[in-house]
This record gives sequence, C-alpha cells and structure tokens, in this order.
Amino acid sequence: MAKPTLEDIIKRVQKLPELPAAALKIRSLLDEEDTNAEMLAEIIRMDPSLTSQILRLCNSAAYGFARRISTVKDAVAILGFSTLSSMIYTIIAKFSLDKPVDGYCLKEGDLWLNSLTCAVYAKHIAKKLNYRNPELVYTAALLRDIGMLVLGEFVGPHYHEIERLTIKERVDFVQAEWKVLGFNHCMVGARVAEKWNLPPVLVDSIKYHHKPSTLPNKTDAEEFKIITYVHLADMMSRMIGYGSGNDGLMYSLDAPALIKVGIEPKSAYLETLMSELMGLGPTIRDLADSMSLKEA
Amino acid sequence: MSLQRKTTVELGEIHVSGDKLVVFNIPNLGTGVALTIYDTINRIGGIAHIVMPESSLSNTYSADESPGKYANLAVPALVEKFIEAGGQKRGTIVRMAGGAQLFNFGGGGGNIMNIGARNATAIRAAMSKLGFAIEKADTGGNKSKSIRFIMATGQLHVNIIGGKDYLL
Repeated sequence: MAKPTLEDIIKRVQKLPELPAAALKIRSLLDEEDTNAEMLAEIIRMDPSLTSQILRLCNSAAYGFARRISTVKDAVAILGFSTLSSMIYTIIAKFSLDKPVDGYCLKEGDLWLNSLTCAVYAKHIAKKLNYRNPELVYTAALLRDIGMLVLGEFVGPHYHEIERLTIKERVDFVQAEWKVLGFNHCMVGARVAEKWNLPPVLVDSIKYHHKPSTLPNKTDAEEFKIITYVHLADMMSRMIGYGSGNDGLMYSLDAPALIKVGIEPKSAYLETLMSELMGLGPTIRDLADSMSLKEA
Repeated sequence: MSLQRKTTVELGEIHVSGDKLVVFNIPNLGTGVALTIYDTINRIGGIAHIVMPESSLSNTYSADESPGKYANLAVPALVEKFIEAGGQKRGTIVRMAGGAQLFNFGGGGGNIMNIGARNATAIRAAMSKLGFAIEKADTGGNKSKSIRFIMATGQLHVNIIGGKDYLL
C-alpha cells in the first residue's frame, strides 16, 4: 500500500463521523463567559441520550457524590462547569474512540479503555502535584490518541517497516511512524482536533504528548505542565497494560520535560506513583461500566 | 456452545482453581507478569497478575490490601493458596510470561525503565526460595503480551499483540 499523502489524511479526517450535536453545543457554551447553569441544563434536557449518560456518570462511584443525583438541574449545579466539561468530553471520547483500529491491533473497546485509563491517571498526577485544573488534564489525556482513528488505516501495511526502524535507528514508535509514513498519529490527531474545533491547549496536547519538550519555546508554563502530565500518564497506562496496541512499549520517556515540571525521573518517585495508579483500577472499571450500560 | 468459564485476572489478583471449565485470561500485561502454577496430577492451577517487584516501592500498601501486586508478597501467597487447594509440588509446572520493557534510548529514566525485567527476576528469586523452579518463561521485548491459562489442561497460551497465539 502506498504511503499516505497529506490529501489522503485530510480526506480521511473529513470522513470521521460528526460529533453529537448537543455535546458539541454544550462544549462551546462552557467556553463562553456568559453561560449559566440553566442554559446548560436546558440543552442537556433536550437530548435524552446525553441526559441519561450524564446522570449515569454523576451517580457512578468514580465521582463519589454523597447523594443520588436524579435531575439535570442538580447535576449541573453540583458538578460545576469544570467537571461537567470533562464529563462531556468523556461522552464525546466514548462515541469517537470505542471502535476497533486494526492498524494498531486495537480491538473494539481497547482505544477507549486505554484513553479512559490515561485520563484517570493524568488527573491523579495533576492532583498529586497540586495542579489547579485536574479536569483539564483529564480531558487532554482522554483525547491524546484520536489521531490513531485516522492513521490506523495507513499504519498496518507499513507496521513491520516502522518496527524495524525503531531498532535500527533507536527511535520510538511515533518517530519511526513519522519517518516511514511522513506523518505520525500526534500530527494527524491535531488535525482532527482542529476539525472538531477543540481549544488550542487540547490541540497542542494531542500534538506534543509524546515529547512535551519539543513544544515551541513560547508555550506557557501551564500548558507545558498539562502536556507533561499527559505524557507521564500515557507512559504509565502502557506499562500497566490497559488496552495498548502494537506500538506497545516502543515509547521513550521525555526525561527533560519531567525534570522541568519538578519530577526527577531517576528517583523512586515514578515507581511509587505507579503503585498508586494501580489502585485506580476500580475507578476506571466503574467509569467504563457506567458508560457502557444501555440507555434506560 | 463453549462451557468454558472465562475469568479475567485483574491487576494484583491471585486465583486458584480445580475447576476444569475455568480459563483465566489477562488481556494486556504491559510490564506486569503472569505467574502460573499447575499440578498436572491433581489438575489444580493458580495464577497471579504481578505488577511490581517489591511492596517497599509502594507508600500506600497496607496489610488489608491484596498481596498480589508485588512479587515478594504475591509469590508466597499464590503458593500458599495453591497448596491449600490441594496442589502438590510433585508434577507441578511453573511458568511466567509478560514483563515487557519500555525503550530507554535517551537513558534519562531510572529504575522504572526496567521494571518488567525486575518483576521477572523477583518472581524467580521468590519461587526458588520456596523450592520451585520456573520451567518456562517468556518475558521481555517491547510489546505487551496477553495470556490464557486453561485449567482443564494446564496449557498457557501467550499472544504478543498483533501476533499469533503460541503455547508456552
């Protein structure tokens, strides 16, 4: 199979299914300053599927609210905009990522489970490091691999060439992917994010999550932190083994980026962190289960 | 219709069974290791999904927690359960698979970069202390493995993601 051209990639990005309209509308309202809780509740209520998914998530043990939430109005009031935003992205991610991606040997559910795991880990890391907006870090991690949906069509026939190059040139999978195909899933993912009008921080996170230290120098420190937390969570989710594909552990740790956000990669810190992340398995399963239930 | 009962062994879980219909599986081991023990005479088997070599690496481990995550605790716990269930050393086969490695081309990472190999080493040491040798092992590489452990036969099927199943 011939290597993809930019035109092939753009065509394939255009062919991705449109995102659920109500979720998109809410996402854009959440970015607007004059949005209030009543406006959001009204739009959610108009979409029965979205209503049921939000209520299920609210009442999952992962969110741990003390009382049962049974109305959209209560959900919006109790969640707050930041958590509601990450919940909307969880619904969008499930819709987009819960499908097989043959080129990366990802069966149905693998990319979704791996993305959800990475998101839960990234949020834990952000909280542990007292980052002020862990929900944004969660969202950035959730969407990091959307480029696989597109590049998955082209990777398969070139997989062995990519794999050989990792060893020959001592580069990780994503660099070899770029050398062989002219694109990697991060670059392609950023295009998908632009098509979906995602905020710039999410576009950058998708583009640079394998190597945050290559972010342009002018990138602000907050964004650098978000993307580095996503990078670390990505590495951990691959190591612990949730739903990763044939690119597996052909992955390089960006040690300079970790050092820049105050994590010493050679210390025992990362092993302690890994043991903490393993304890999040029930939270991940609970979230995944609450998203996979059929609508009432 | 298959009568097999498939049981997924989650991170840090230990299972022992004498039920011939049971098939244990772990879909994605990453740097973790599946340790299996099977008494070919009494047809009793056990499996542990081990993720780290030492419980001392955790600052959250408590005695109430399942010991299965850490090799130093998981190995004696698996053997104890196996013997309690009627498993015997004679005719027993011990195998392990998993323990993949991250690339470390830049050399910037610390001990975590070889945690897969350290898991395998810690398991071997702990098993040897209890008088068991690991008969077959497939650990290492840069790709995650999945396994199926069949209680009716004691067979351990391994799959490197993207490849074909093989018997270890």
